[in-house]
Amino acid sequence: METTSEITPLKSVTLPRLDSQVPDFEAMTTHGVLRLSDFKGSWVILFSHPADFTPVCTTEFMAFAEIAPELKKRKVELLGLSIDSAFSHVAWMRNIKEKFGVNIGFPVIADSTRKVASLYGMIHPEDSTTETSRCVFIIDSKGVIRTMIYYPLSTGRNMDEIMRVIEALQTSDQHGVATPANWRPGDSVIVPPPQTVESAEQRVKEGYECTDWYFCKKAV
Amino acid sequence: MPCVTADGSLTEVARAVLIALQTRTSLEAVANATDLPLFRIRASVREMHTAELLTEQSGEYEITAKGAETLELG
Repeated sequence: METTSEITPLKSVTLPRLDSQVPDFEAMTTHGVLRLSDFKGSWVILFSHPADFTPVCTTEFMAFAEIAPELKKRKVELLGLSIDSAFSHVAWMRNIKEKFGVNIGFPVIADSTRKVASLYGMIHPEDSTTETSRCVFIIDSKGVIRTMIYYPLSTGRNMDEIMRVIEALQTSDQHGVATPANWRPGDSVIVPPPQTVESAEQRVKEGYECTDWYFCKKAV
Repeated sequence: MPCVTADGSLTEVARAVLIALQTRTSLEAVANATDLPLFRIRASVREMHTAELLTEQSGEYEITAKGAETLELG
């Protein structure tokens, strides 16, 4: 895969879509040159941050490092990104380790050409024309984008919500169900509503916790 | 060549992968043997395959004579 030193014009920004196959890329990271396809078989949280050596991003990186072991148990890898250089990333990682005692064990892309940021629509010119916004892409083990969350520069991400979404998606995949508002692991899940009159009549007899024919839950 | 450091010696990951590939095996088995994430193994193997330190056959990899020599040199 070729790399380019040209900065990609913002006009060519494309936005990924839910349930679409992710575009592959090759990029320099703090762990050397990686391709997104190197993560095939694992889930990936691809996330961007505005800039190294900034306070909100520092709290986020420490928070991501904190949930990394739990993510690992769920076969989820982290992959960060900003337009800073690899040298800047390395210096910042070392600074976080020195000042806060937190080891950032996941790779961070040095996207100084904005190649990946443009591919994933991580630069939102109204938020910042030069920095990547706080974007989160949850990609499943088949390389499909399952969730996209965008936060503005001023607001640090919520790790509880990211963990909750991962657990909800994996539960949905495993059991063929959906999850209700504010669902947490252990809560009942939503049984997909019936699509025909016949199955609607059958549904209420199937032993689920049904409030009505279209609203049934079960434990998993 | 990123699988070697500035002084020409193998990186820690490259060394671990080469040691694990002294007998032909899959990258998943290398990940288990080295306790390194599979994505790191894949990236390292790609570089070392290009550098002819490894050969691939039916999705399994094995160290070459050049790879063994590089490993011995450190």
